[in-house]
Formats: sequence, structure tokens, C-alpha cells
Amino acid sequence: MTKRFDFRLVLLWALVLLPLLAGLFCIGVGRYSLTVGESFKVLARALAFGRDGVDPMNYSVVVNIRLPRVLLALLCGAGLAASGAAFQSIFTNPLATPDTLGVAAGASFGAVLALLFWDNLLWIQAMALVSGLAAVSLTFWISRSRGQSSVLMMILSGVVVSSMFQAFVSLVKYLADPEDKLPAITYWLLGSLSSITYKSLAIGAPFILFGLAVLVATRWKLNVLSLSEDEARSMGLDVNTLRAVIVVAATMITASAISMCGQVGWIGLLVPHVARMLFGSNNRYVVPASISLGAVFMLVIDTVARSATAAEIPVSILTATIGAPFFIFLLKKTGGNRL
Amino acid sequence: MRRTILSIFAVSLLVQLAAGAAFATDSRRVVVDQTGTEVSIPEKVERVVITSPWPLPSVYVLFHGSADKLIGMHPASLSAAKYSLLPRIAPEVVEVDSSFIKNGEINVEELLKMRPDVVLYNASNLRNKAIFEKAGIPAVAFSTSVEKFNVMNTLNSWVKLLGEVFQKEDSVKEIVDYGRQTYDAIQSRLAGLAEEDKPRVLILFHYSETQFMTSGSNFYGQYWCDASGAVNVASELRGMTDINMEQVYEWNPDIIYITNFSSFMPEDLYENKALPNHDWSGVKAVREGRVYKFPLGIYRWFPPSGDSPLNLKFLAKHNHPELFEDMDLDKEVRDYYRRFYHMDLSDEEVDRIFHPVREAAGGV
Repeated sequence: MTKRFDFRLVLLWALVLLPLLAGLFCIGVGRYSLTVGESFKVLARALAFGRDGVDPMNYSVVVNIRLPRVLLALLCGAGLAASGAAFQSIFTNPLATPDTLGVAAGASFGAVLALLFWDNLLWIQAMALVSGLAAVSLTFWISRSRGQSSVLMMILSGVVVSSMFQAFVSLVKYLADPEDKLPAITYWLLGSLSSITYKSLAIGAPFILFGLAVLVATRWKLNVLSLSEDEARSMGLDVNTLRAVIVVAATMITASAISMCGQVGWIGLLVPHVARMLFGSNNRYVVPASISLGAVFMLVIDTVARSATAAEIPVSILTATIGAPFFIFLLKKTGGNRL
Repeated sequence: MRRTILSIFAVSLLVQLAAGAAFATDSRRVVVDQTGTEVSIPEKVERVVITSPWPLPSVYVLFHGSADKLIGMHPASLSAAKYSLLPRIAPEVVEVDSSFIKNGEINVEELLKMRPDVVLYNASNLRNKAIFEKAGIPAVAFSTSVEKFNVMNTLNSWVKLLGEVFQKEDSVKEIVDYGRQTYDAIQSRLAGLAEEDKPRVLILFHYSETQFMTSGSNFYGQYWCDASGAVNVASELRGMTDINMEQVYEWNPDIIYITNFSSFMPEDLYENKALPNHDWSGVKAVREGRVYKFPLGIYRWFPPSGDSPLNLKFLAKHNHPELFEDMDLDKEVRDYYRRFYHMDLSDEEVDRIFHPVREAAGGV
């Protein structure tokens, strides 16, 4: 891998196109017998003329089943990976991710609590956001001593906060009506993209897109934030405000992704590391690369989940079984130096 | 204060131990249950608790003709009974205690207080087995997966085991013979059926906003399809598994059966209002009006139950209307209920069996 600047730009452009091409390709993959070319034609005609002129079955498969799911996978993958990258740089901690900081568990708790009272997705989103923010703030507060927070302290407090919120989730499950609320909660926690509709996508997507926009816009400053606080201040940055803005953005993404496809782990940890292996640790590249690779990774995983066998495979199982061995490989290969 | 509580506790423990000892001095006999375990039970069984499998109380009533001696059962069995004909046959069923199980967990002291002679439980539930062992209650295991989920033989084996527990061999023979004859008669009519003449069937086992599951092979759905001359579209999958709509389009089944574990009805699929992102209108079974709901008599008809032979007839007739034109399902049901449950069904009750209510999917 050469370190020449222009080469990276070319690579970055490739990264922009990759999710788009992968998305188009995956619309052609599935259990229903349509070739990639046929699916593409169906999609094109459906976009041009609507329902007319397309075989209704084909229309259903491509437009109502595959398309929303592909969009959701791209969005959630991009969002989870980017928020992982953001958390890692502002906390200068290679292991900081929505999972390890307790954001995921916190957001889950907010969401299941909302599920207990309402069926409205907006409430679920809002509660997940508030509760996720509470969790990450708590983690950060516990880990700080004398104005410093070490990597180890943050991971430990993340573990504590995570398990605390997981316990709250179990408590909600215990209190839930076993006949009507509990199955919904259990299913939701498993994480599946199969129940997505355009309506829920329309509610959840803006949160993710807005959060991503914030992260992309502030990616220059992320580099400065990953220096020590004194250095960052000397460069004239309002460190605390900036940090707060980024934490809210990343938490919003995580909460929204969780509320649409349940708890999907690993992406926020794995993808930014791959991005750093390719581009070094400059956030100017790491954030967009994470967005792109995360989108593709999640898309591939979900496409496997819905098409590998006649049965639907839970996504969280796949991310863990692929993510964990890959991460072990990374650790052994780099000896932890790049982490 | 604390000492009083402690001493009360100690005394009650002693009383229970003494009671346990009193049990042990009665004359006893040995029954071999479906895990091959030899269980020592009292000579005369007067107080029975059934914690699982959920359909077992319905088979118990088929066997005894009443819910006599049944003093406790699982809340899910009780809520299933509410929407079934069980209370009509055995009114005492609704009085049976289920308070010793909360959230699926058995409260062992509550169970001990009921002083059961024997507990019947699902062989796969090892946690419960440990609880019964610790409590020293004789527990007889019933298997739900006899011969790879062969429903009729599961029913037969349950009836036989009940016969051993209650030492009533005469009623066993009648029930088992009826089931065998029903099965054999249907098989001989289906014999020689070419593979392409068998309808391709999708069983919607769990179908709700949160679940979309069918029965693959190695589960009851496969047995029902095989025994009633149909092809199970999901036979490549094992057990109960999650599916998605795209796979359903690919299978494009000729017939869909919805179990009573789902609150959806055939009309929900016909009118395409089951779930917002599920478009059923293009599926062959829906286009041709061949979506049926499993009936519900003394229990839900999908798992083994006291009504299993009737379900075999129901499925055979719906899969092959022309072959079973002479079979009058209403009459079959009436005769069966008169013979085994000693009750005459009204027209309305027969209709209710074949058109169960949505609410019957509660508690699953």
C-alpha cells in the first residue's frame, strides 16, 4: 500500500461508488428467481412507470421487499460504522464503539421502555436517543478522574454501564405482558431487517442522515479532538461543545439504527479499524471510508441473511460470527499497534 | 419476631418432610416414562398436575372422558381451554389451579402445597425435571417428538403412558385403534397418488407482526403434509424456522394452512390486510381461494391433541376434495365427540370448531 496522496483520493472516489453498485447488485439477489439483470429492469421500469407495465409479483419482490431492505442495510451499516469512528477519535480510544460505551444498551433500554407503552416509532426513536445519551454521559463521567480518562477506565465503565442497562432491559421484559408485549420486545432485540417498511424507514432515516452529515462536516476537527485537551484548546477549539455535538450526533445514529433493526453489534468496532488499516488514522479519510465500508459490510451481511437459506438468519448472529474472527485476525496481524 | 417466623418455617418444613415420608410408606409401582426413566408412583393416583406439554390436558380428557383428578396445569393450557370445547366436556377444567406457574416458572413450594401424587411434564424440559426431583414428586415425562414428530404415534404413545399411570388399559385400545384405522384408511385412498398430483402446502405456524415462521421437516407440519397427501414446500428446512415473504413468492404454494398459534384468518390474506409490507395478492393459494385455518376443538389441531385423528381427515379432504368427496367432516366430528367425549355437539359448536376465533392464538 503506497502512501501517495492522489492515490488515496482515487480510492475514496471508489468508496463513494462501491455502496451504490453493491446496492444495485444486491437488489438482484434473493430467494425469488429473478436474475440480476431482470431485477434491474423491473426496478428501472417501476421507477419510470410505477406499478404499470411490471409483473405484479416481480414488482412486489423488487420494490416492496428488497429495495427498502437494501436501503436500510446501507444506512444502518454506514451509520453504525461512522459513529464508531467518531467515538473512537473523540475519546482517543480505539475500543470505543456504540457497544462498548453502553450507547447500544442504553438505546435498547429506551426503545423497549417505549415499546412497553406505545407502538409509535417516533417515540421509540426519541426514547432510544435520550436513554443512549444518558448511558454514554454516565460512562464518560465514571471514567474521568482528575480531568483525564484512560482507555482502560473508559472500557471498564462502559462494561458497567452496559450491563446495568442490559439489566434494565431484562427488567422491562420481566414486567412486560407475556402475551402481547413480550414477543414484540424479544423479537425487536434480536435485530432483523425483514420487517422494515417505507413508513418506518421514512421516520428513522432522517436521524441517521442528519447525524452522518454532522460527522462528515466535523471530521476535520476530529483530528484535533484526538490530541490532548490542552493542545486542542490552544488551537482555538471549543472542545466541550464540539465533543457534545459529536456525541449527540453519533448517539442519534446509533439509537435510530437500533430502533429500526435491533441490536446489531460489531460494525462500529470492526469497520473503522479496517478503514484505518487502509488510510492511516487521519479522520478526514477514516470517517468517509467507514461510512462506505460499513454500508457495504452490512449490506453483504443482510443479503446473506435473507438469501443464503430458505430460512431467515438473524443478522446479529452473522455480524458476530464474521466480526469476531476477523477482529482476532486483525489483532494477531498488527499486534495491536494500529489499534 | 424473626424467631417466630423461623420456627414456623422449620415446623412447616418438618410437616412437609413427614408428609413426604408418609408418601413413601404407601404401596408403590413403577412406570417407565418416555425418557426411559423408571418412575416410582403411588399405587392409586388421585391427584395429578400437568405442567407441560400444553396439549396434554386435552389428551387426558380424551383418555378419561373428563378432567377428573386433574388438580393443576400450566396457565397456557388453561387459556387454550378457554377458547376450546374442553370446558363443555369437562366443566371442572376451568376450576383447575394454574397459579403455581408464573411467567413460565414453577413455584416449587406452591406445587408441594397441592400435594400431587404425580406430575406429568414435557420430556424436553430438563429444568422442570430437576425441580421435581429436588421436591421428591414422582414425575412422568411425555415426549413431543416421538418418531420424528409423528403426530398420531405421539398421541398413541401418550395415551398408552396415561393407561399405565392410571391402570386403565381398556380405554387405551379403543383410542389407539381408532387413530390407526383412520390413518390406514386415508393412506389407502392416497396410495398411488403421483407426486405432481399432490398440492404444495405452506403451513403458517407463527405469523404475527413479530414472527413469520413455518414448519420444516422434523416437525408436526411435515407429518401432516406427508400423512394427508401433500408436499410441504418448506421440507428443506428443519423444525420451526423464520422465513420471509420473498421465499413464499418463490415457493408459490397451492394451499396455505394457518395454525391457531397465529391470530390471522384466511380473509386477512384474501383482503391483503395481514401486514403492511406483506403483499399476499400474487400468491397462488390466495388467488385461488385455498387458504384455510386449522380447526380448534378440544385443543389446537396443529400439535398432537385429543382431536388428532379428526385433523388428519380435515387435511386429507382439503388437499384432495375429489378423493374424499364422500367424507362428511361435520358428521365425523359429531361421531368422534359422541364416542370419546360423550357429548352431542350443536350445529353452532361444530361450526365453531371449523371457524375458530382469532383470540385463540393468545398466550403463545
